[in-house]
Amino acid sequence: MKKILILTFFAAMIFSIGCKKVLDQIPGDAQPGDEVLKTSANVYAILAASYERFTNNDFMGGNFTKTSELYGDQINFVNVTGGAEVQFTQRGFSSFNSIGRSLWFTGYEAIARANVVVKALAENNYTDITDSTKKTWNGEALFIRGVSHFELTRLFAKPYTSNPTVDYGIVVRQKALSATEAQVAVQRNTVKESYDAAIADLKLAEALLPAFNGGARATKWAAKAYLARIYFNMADYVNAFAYANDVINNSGYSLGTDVTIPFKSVGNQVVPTPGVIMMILGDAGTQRGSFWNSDLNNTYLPLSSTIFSTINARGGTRATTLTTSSTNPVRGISTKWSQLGASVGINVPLIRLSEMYLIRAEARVQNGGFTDATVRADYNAVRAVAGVSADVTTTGAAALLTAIRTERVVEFFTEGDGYHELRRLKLNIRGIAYNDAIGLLKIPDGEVRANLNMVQN
Amino acid sequence: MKISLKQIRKICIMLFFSGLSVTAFAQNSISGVVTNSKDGLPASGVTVTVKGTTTATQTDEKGAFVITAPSNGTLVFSSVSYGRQEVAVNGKTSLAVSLTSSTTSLDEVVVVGYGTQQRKYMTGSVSKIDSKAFTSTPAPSFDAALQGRAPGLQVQQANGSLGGAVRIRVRGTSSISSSGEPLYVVDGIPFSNGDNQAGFGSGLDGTKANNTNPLASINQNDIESIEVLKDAASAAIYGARAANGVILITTKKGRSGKTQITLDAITGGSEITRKLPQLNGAEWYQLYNEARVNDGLLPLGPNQNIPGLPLSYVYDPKVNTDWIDQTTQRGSLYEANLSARGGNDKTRFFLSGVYRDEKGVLVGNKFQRIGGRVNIDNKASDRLDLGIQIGMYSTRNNEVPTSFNGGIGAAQSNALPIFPVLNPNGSYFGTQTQYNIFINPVARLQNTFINRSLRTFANVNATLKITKELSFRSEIGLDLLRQKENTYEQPYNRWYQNTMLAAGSERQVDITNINNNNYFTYNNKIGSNGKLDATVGFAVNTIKFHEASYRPQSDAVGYVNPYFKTGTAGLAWSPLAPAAVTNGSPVTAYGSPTNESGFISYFARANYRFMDKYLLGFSVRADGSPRFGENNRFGYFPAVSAGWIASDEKFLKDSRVINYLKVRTSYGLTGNAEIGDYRFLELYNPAGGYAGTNGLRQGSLANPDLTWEKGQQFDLGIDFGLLKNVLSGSISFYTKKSKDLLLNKPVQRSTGFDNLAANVDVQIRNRGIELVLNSNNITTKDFKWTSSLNISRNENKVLTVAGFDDPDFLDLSEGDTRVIAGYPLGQNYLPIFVGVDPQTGVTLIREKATGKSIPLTAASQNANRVPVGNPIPDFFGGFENTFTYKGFDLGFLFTFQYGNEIYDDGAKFQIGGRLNEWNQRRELLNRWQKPGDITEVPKVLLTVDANNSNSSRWLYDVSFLRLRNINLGYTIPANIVSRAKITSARIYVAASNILTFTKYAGWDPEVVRYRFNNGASNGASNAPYLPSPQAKSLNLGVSITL
Repeated sequence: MKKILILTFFAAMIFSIGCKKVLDQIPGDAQPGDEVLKTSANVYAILAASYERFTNNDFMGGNFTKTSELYGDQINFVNVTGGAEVQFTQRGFSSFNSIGRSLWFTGYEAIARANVVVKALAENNYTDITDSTKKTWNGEALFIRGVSHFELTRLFAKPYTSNPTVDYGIVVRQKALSATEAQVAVQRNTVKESYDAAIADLKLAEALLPAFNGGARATKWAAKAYLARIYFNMADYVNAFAYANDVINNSGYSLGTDVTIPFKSVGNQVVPTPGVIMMILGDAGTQRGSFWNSDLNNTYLPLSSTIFSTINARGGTRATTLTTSSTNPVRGISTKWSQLGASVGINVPLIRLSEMYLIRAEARVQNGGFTDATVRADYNAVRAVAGVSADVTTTGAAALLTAIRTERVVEFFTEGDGYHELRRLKLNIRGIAYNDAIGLLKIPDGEVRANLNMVQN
Repeated sequence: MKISLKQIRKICIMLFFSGLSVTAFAQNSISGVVTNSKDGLPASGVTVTVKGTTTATQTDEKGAFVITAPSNGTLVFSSVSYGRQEVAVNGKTSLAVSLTSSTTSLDEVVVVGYGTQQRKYMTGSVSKIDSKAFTSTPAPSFDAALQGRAPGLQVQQANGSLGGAVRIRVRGTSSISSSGEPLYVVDGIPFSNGDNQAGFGSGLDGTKANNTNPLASINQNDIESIEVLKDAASAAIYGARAANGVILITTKKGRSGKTQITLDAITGGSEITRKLPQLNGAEWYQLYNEARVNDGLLPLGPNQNIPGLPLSYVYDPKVNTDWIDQTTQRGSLYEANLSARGGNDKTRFFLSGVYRDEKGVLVGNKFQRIGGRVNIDNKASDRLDLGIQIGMYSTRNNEVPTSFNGGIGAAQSNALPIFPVLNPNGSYFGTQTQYNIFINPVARLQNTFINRSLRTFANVNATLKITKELSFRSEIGLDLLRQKENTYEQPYNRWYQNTMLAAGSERQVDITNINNNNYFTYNNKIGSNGKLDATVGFAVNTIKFHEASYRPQSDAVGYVNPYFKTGTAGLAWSPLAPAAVTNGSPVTAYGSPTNESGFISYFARANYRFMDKYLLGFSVRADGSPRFGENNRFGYFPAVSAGWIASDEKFLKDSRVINYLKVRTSYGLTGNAEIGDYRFLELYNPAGGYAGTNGLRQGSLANPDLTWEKGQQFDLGIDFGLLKNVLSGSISFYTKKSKDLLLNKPVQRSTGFDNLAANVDVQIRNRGIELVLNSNNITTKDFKWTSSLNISRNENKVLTVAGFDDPDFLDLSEGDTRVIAGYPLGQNYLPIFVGVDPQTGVTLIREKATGKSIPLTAASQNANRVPVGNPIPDFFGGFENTFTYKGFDLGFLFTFQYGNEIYDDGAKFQIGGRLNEWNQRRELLNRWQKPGDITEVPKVLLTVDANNSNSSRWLYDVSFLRLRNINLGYTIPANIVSRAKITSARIYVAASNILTFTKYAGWDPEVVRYRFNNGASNGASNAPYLPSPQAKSLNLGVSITL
């Protein structure tokens, strides 16, 4: 009897030692969260995955541009007869729209991954990397987060120029979430809050990022350039001027000499591409030609005849090397996104230096106290690259603004700029008011189904 | 108290006379023979006790015994296999006793978790199924043979494919996304019963539409009995794994006595129960042209290509292929079982070997089982019992594609009757292009998918009697599975860069499931009238899953076969592969390296009975598992029960009608831990990277609260025996509620996630009533007739849906089934079909708001959906009769279900929807043709939007009554066979599914959807898509005992 009890006791001892092993199991093909963030290399990999989402064809690498063009008035909708795109022609959006879904889902995945990077760097002290490396990674994550917030707001909310403190923007997500937090229903922030979040992130990023960071990653100048774009879009011309001016004067970037260079870049960038402040890398999956379909005579989104004639009227290499036309029927076609080969992913310029020149030009006029020649010098610099003769005659605010805006159209066609310009300037877009919610994609089903009180567009 | 002398004298006289009476009923030596009433064979190892004494003996190998007993005494014959029977001596000195196996006996011993109980004193709801249900039958596996055998047990064989899945539900489905299958325990060891085939979409899933049945490897002839634990009182001892019920499998043990060698052999043939009526070539072509005209096109002229086909083809009136005939066949079965059973009073053994070779009713489908078992028990000393049970089963299953994956699925869809099987040059039609996959199922069936498994069950146990009352048992059980899947695709079925190239893949799965149980059992009297039977112990269970696989990358071609040419990186190539291919990275290793989980469990049970009629039970189990989040590592599952044997009360004791009456009730908590591994963990997975850096992403968020799904079960039952137990049975009422169901709960996508695994407030209630009636209708010397009826009703209702009130939010996504509060799980959500507009020939549905009939369009279909259909039968069950007359025996089992409807998810394409590319069912001949036609079938069109033509039109009543089994046998008289030194010999004819009564006009009313996940199996099983037929069979068998 005694022996049995002793044996049982020992069995129980061994058993309780074994318990912990049985109860704590981790999978073989994934890493548990608390371990992952202890290693700096993993944080870098998460940052890479955030970049991947950010630069994906579904977001900034493609759909952002395409959606902006579908929203705007610079393309010809004749071939848009079905699929998610047709809802842009009818202005009748569904929350199931696949374009809306991919933008929202991909953009927020970029943000969520960036949030993990920011959290990991704040909570851990990685001894194997230098402080400047940590700053860079942190800045890159903030850059991705800020830009993603800004661009999602521009695509899913009314413009800043409407009523930013009242209009609904997007859901601001600036924190890595726990499961409990993720289940909390969160309402959309206002447009102003959404813009503020983006600006705050980019200002932090501006201070953290280096001037050069490889050819295809965020830099201090990319952050500043984006801030210029944001302020300009808000019609805050003082700040827009300051940032654009800073980039033009101090970044050391040049406008280059060939307008086609920014659209023909392939592969990892070691040095900056002339004219481009930040290039995002394409891969075989981001063949932008596939949706623009630059196959002659079968182009899915040709240029509107108005813009095609505007480009041709301006002349120069933008007309001759960046457009072509189909023969039957005759339609203008942008070749900016033409495929370079069967499975070659072309790089996508995220933001270009010429935009800084045109922002500075318009900001000078808007802020007053300008001289005509300085304003003309800015857009003439852009014209010079395109082989268009300099404008030496235009004077006066109104005429200058017209010249700048026309220059913008000719410079940025099919780059997603036109729609946002119409909204900044409070102009009607294909017959509806610039701030009419009917013209907006719906907040996708994946967002709304977990929060039925979500304010819908 | 004062005792007078007178009184003392009186007592003395009484004692004297009582002494006399003892003399009058003297102790006699009684000899006798005990035989098995079924086969007349000697019953050895039966304990013979003189009632009320400790005098006992055992029958020897000839069934003989000698015992000393008073001539007015009673002998009690008892054994595990025969139960208990009392025989009055009545002055005789020789007795011939015939014992019947104990299925209807109230005294039968029932296996429960960690022990056994006498049925009479049980307070739980347990169904016992005797081995005769699955031996000497052609049943493909023991679980398929359970259909109609026990109340509350719903058994659906998915289809007639061999080795295919059987869907079993104990008292309904109580989960949505976790497993709804019961826990299986073999000889005390829980074993894994998941389908381990490669997952859907892995590229290795040779027959992705059809799940396999891991239970099919077990030789059903090795099974002594199966117990189904249905309520909390019986099942809660299995705690977090008991919510779906528990099925206990007990294998045969040795018997002391002469070694009995038994050969069981069965052979026969099978065919499909019914053939789906489809159009022939001429009819198809005629309707095709009619549809063209209806669409405003001209009918096709001779020599005109049929547009829209995957290859250019001109109709040839001489070609008329019946693809169902091409893909089905007559099946065959051959099975031989050889077993030996024997031993002495110290050691007993059971040995068996099986060979089964079966050819299925689907062309190419084969199943082979080879296995052996050794069960040995040894009485090492008066205090120590040792035992070992080892079963090894090897199976080889040649699987075939079904449903959307081709084969019989293609024969009822893409394979048009106007296509020939072969091209004029003898090659397979369709293989001249690379798009043949579905248009020629015969070509596709030349691919092979072979699934081999080796399963080992081993259980070593020791029981130590510490005192008379207290014993300790320790057992270690091993459940090992090694499964290997090989696919081979014929070159003509697989093209790469415009070249025909074959490919092969291989996948291996290893499951190591180790279980250790240690428990004390205590049995003692408490006071003068109380008895306590208690068990307390602990168990450790570890489950390890490992898989590794190799396959050609998406489009490339390659082998994992050293006989082929080796390319770069040591990978093997088809000699035909172009050099460009071999320079790539052709073979992908795939697989999750290892999944580990397990359970640490503590359990206790106490059953107390007072005066043998008041019963109380209590059990509790604590289960800890790495599947549960840190905040909920351990779950506690208590159950209480009570019973009252009213028939032992004075007022019923002398009743001539009621011999036995027990009222029992139980309540307890159970859990469902089949929620998958690691789901509470925050995990990072590889992701796309950027600029040369590999990516890593947060794949899931940590949910430390994640836990098992909770079950609450209440049971109330009455067990009875009437008219000298001629009629016995029980009625049970139950309510089972499951809550905190684990779902992929949608979260706002702005979190970066689509959903996360969480226990949400979704509740499902199963409520039902079960009735079982056993009757010994006639028992005479030569003729015996017994009947057994069981009938069950289960109401399944979703009570709450965690605020996901829109039916589309909890979309089971298969077959338009939904989770809607107030309706059964898997309710169909469809517009109501009204008919066909006699003027225009279009489908009309009912407008939800107005009740008006409106044409069916994509928009009206979505807007007018309502919960409709009935996925759960109103009742189901089985009715069995057995007759024996002298040497003849006849048994038949009818099974039935009533009131449920299936949503035939492929019918919309098969009846008008895809006339341009699919063959069509014959119903289409009744289509609307001209204004004024009254029909239920709309006009034929090629432009019909079939994907958006869901409606209640595709709901079909699948009530059926089926002759599931019939078994006619003849036992050759002993005096004839004994000349050949044979103890007994029986020959029999066994048939299955030979008669089916149903209104359903499809393949077969017993049908479930293909399934590759729990959600579809739980909620969409009534929505089949291009189902496979069932098989019926006729067999001849022989059973010889030496």
